[in-house]
Amino acid sequence: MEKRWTLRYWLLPGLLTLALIGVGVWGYQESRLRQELQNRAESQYQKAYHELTWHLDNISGQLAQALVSSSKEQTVLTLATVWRQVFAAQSNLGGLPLAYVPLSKTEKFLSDTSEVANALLAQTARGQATLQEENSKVLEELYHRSKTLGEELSKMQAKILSCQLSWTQVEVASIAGGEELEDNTILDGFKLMEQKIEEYPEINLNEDFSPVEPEPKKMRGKEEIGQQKALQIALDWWFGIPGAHQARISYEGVGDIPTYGVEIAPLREDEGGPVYVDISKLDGAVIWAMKEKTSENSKLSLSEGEEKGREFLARHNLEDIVAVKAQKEDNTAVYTFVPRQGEVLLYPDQIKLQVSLEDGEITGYEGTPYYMYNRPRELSAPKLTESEIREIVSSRLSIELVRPALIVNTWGKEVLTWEVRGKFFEEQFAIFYDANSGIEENITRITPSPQFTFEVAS
Amino acid sequence: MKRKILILLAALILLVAAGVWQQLMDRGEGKEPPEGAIQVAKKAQGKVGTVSSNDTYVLSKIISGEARGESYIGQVAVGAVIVNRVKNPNFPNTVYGVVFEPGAFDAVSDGQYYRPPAASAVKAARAAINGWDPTGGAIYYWNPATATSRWIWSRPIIARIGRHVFAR
Repeated sequence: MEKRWTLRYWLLPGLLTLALIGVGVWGYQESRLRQELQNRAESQYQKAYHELTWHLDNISGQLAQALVSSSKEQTVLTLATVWRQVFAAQSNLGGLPLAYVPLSKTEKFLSDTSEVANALLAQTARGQATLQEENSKVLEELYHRSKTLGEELSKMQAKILSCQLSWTQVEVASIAGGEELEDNTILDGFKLMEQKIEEYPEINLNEDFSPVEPEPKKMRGKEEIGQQKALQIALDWWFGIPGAHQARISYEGVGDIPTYGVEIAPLREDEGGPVYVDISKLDGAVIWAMKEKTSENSKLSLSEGEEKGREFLARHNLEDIVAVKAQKEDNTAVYTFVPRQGEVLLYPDQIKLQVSLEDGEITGYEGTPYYMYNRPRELSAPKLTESEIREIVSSRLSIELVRPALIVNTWGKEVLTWEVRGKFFEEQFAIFYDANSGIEENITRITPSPQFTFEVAS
Repeated sequence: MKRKILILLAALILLVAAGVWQQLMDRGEGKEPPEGAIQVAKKAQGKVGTVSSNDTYVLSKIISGEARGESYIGQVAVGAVIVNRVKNPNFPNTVYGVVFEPGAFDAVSDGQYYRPPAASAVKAARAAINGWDPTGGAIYYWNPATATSRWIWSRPIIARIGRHVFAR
């Protein structure tokens, strides 16, 4: 009697103790696992931070080196090093958990330095002996900024090392608190660095360094079209013939081109999703349009789809137009069309179309470049002939096609070129030669990428 | 009675021990991916999508995680922000760099990114990577109902689509 009573008496506490021990072991394992993962994340951040500091120190050193060098060889090598170090520094900065710390001036410094180094490399490659006076001034300005950034980073580095500051603790605290930390040594350090760099005047990189924005066509309208007008334009443009479809303005864009976002609801279920048409407020032009459509199979070939695209463009008075790229994914084709002026392809004015290869329905129109840049150009006849260009082309390229084309070059200027398309082993290239000087302006790899499939959630 | 209780006790001890053991084993053999990309690639049955670049696939996964429940245009808009960031000198130069920037996207932090993408997100990614941009050049977006950053509100807003606001 006594014994049984004792066992019963101890049963529940015993079980609870066991459960507690179990939970304790489990919790210990969990926290150790978390700690280990946190340490690994921390080491990634530490590596990115220390490397960033190291690269910035190198960048200022190399910028100074480029300035004191008097030989072409050393200048080129030094500039190439600057370019490489900036690339690494950008990647380090992108690896730090600073997504919501405003660092735009610091990032601007890095991209400016990269552009300047790249441009000077190109100039030197074209045969310029050493740095010119105005280029040296820009490098000097970059040097002072890099010095400031480097000093701030080193100060912070000393603090991080001596006070054992942890990046992940910042993150843990911010996840737990559900918001960003306002008061933190590391983040404060970066904010201070940004302020220091802000004190410098903005460097205005002229067109020697930085590509100029291509000049957009003068916008045609002065007064905004009304909402009703926009709805009407969208319906007419997409359907051609007036029907029973209802349209509404679903949003307004105030970006580079102010627009009305028109949404046209489907009438029947088999029409699929709504159609979206973006109409410019100033002149009522269609900027882009799209519709979600699932194509189950491909009844049309790529070239039949292209024909459907052409018919669609012809309905909108886009007749003299050439398809320069076609790509098929998920029974949908994406075509890049380029308008022509005479024989010359106008690459800056391209239009993209998505066509369903199941039934040839157009599911997307992207005409932003066409809207921004299409206008009659003054094009002189090319000085070099097609056969002269064929002479210049590398013998390793087996030429498939040569045609005149207008492109925007690396520096943002429109250049009349001869486009040469050809093959080298598996690779396909489009190479553009200045039609007057024969300079190789651009080489673009156009090899189609291999396709692969993957599971999607149903 | 006594035996019954003893058996029960033994069973419970075994259960707890099994639990602890499993925890210990999990640590050693925890190489099975939880619910993610590697598994997705293994089972190819069911609905599939086709893309011709990994960029589009990664983009579709982030759209799926970030803009679940948004209209098609709202999904394209989120994809366009990522594409715009890639082109912007102040952000990393690849889709991967932008998507995996630490803390930049909630869907990456909370793991939603690692699920298979919705079919509509794949189409949205294809549109975004080919240049369709409903936002008119935005490089930020957030959901006003859940955004915690005060700094983000200092950005100039250029569009509102679905639940998100888009800004430069």
